[in-house]
Amino acid sequence: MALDGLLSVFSPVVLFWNLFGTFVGIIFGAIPGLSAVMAMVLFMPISFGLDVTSAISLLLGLYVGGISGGMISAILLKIPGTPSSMTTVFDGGPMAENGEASKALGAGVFFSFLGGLASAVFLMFLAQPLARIAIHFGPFEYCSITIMSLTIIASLAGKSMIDGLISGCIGILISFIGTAPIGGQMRLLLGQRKLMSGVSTVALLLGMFAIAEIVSASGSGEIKAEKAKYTLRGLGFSFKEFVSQIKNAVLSSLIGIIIGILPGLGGNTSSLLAYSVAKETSSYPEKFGTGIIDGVVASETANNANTGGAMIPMLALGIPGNTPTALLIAALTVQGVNCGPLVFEKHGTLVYAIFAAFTLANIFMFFLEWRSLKLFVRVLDVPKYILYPVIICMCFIGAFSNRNRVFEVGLVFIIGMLTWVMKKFGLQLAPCIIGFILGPMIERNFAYAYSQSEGDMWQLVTRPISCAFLVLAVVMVIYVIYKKVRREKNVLADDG
Amino acid sequence: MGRKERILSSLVVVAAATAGLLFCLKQIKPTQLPVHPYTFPAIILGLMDALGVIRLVQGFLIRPEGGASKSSRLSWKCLATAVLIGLFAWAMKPVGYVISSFVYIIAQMLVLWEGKKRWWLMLIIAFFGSVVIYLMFRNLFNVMLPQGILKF
Repeated sequence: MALDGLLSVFSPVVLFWNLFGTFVGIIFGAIPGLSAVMAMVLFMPISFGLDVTSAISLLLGLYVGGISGGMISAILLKIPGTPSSMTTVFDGGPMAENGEASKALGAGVFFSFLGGLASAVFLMFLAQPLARIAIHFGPFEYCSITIMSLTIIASLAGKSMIDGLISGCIGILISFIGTAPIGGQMRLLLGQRKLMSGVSTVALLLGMFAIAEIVSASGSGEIKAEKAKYTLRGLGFSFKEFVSQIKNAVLSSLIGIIIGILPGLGGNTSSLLAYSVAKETSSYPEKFGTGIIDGVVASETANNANTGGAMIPMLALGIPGNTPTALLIAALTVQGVNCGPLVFEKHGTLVYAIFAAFTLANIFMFFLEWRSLKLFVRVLDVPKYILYPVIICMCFIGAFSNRNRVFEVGLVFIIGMLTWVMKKFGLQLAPCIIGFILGPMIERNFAYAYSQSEGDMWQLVTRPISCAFLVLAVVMVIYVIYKKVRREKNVLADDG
Repeated sequence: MGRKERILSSLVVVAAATAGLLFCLKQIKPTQLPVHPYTFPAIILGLMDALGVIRLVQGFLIRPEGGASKSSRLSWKCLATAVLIGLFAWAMKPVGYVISSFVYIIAQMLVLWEGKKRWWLMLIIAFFGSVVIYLMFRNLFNVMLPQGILKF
């Protein structure tokens, strides 16, 4: 059964759809505003006409390519192609500015591949037992894990903790705009009924990274920048650098997989958490954000590891971990396959075909991106006075197509201007994004937990898994403060 | 960031957070406190208010510097780019994507271009960025961008 399943993806037709899906996925991922989900929705009707193995290979290719492709624009343009690659901007962008675009891309491609492969291994061997553990997570556990994730703000706050926290609060407040998670009441609409559906992550990221960045850059000397200088040999990084990143990659893979298994947290959270952990466990945390390979490795390994992680509850329990896996479940259902505990018995061959197709999609992704590195880096040669207007057009199209309305375009512009003001005020963007992603999660899960326990919120502490996450949150905050104090003491001692 | 900018920005944060907090507190009925839609926004705004005050105090403690900091200066290109992007966003619905993007691209390149302008290149890029992208998204990706006054 296992061998039949694994071999079924090697037929020329299935291979073609997998390769095609990965290629298209990379393009969708690389264009800011377009995403893996959009690509999957677009190609879903085509998959209905294919046999089940080809259909799932096509969709998996789109999924894997779409998630990985986001790093291309994140590094080259400092605009995340997909929300899950937003942390790649923090170090990938500065690396490209420092003439290390090919190194950043090479590291991104390679460690995306490793993250994807690691999650494929987990998917193959541990899908069932891991899914059984994840099912024990309730609103209290989710609430605690979100609180723990919010502590990332403390570690990414930069020089001023106060500025970081204010920025985080702004992000949380933006996420509260729209319909409240419990009761469905509208709030903070600012007199604009079109805000009922809230601010989308795509609009926020495009506004924050594209509009604000281009407005700032147009007034600076960056426009006059000379042609980017770069060299490309192999993957752009040395074996020594690879060895130095093994610990970072392993940790980030695990974070990506675990966050992926937990439904609703998503690739954004995994890359944020992995970036924060990489920074805190590093011996040179002050260099994060200035353009070091570690940041790119953490972000890209985690968001690709998340893809396989999200497929674990999808296959084993029939619970989608995120939107792409919900689409995969829909595609499988149309093909007559119901995901859940019985899928391993009823459709064992297909399950192994899915494992193999997912692994192959990662391999295709690696080769397609690796062989195109030189082409990608050429983007930096395009003069900014040509590049910027075209990027703005693409961003507006991405914003429009996200919800099919022009209002989103205006929203992107307003967010861009707000971000520009925030930057002028000295507030950092990273904590704001973290607040935006995690704000609704913490509120929703708190409300669920409160309703479920009829107000007995002590269960946050009395439930073992929930308590463990809270303890971890406290430890992380203490550790971050301790490290900050120690660093300041060292600086003072050096000055003295 | 200088002392003046820090104090000014902190004042903006405190004023905005206080206004928001008062608005949220007005909406909350005490009986529904823990799960009311405005409970979390009120908590966050309260926190932001407190942080803003701390930032303001920090601002007063910073040693004053002479002259305006470099970051506070606004270049005309920066302003023109912001205005052009805003106009593009505003015009997209009534005028349509094709015309608004064509005009925007040309105008933006005129603002950013340094040295001798190559009009033929500008026109090619504007055509590609407007018509070609419009048709590509409509036919390949099923994204129906606003048509505006041009119906095709």
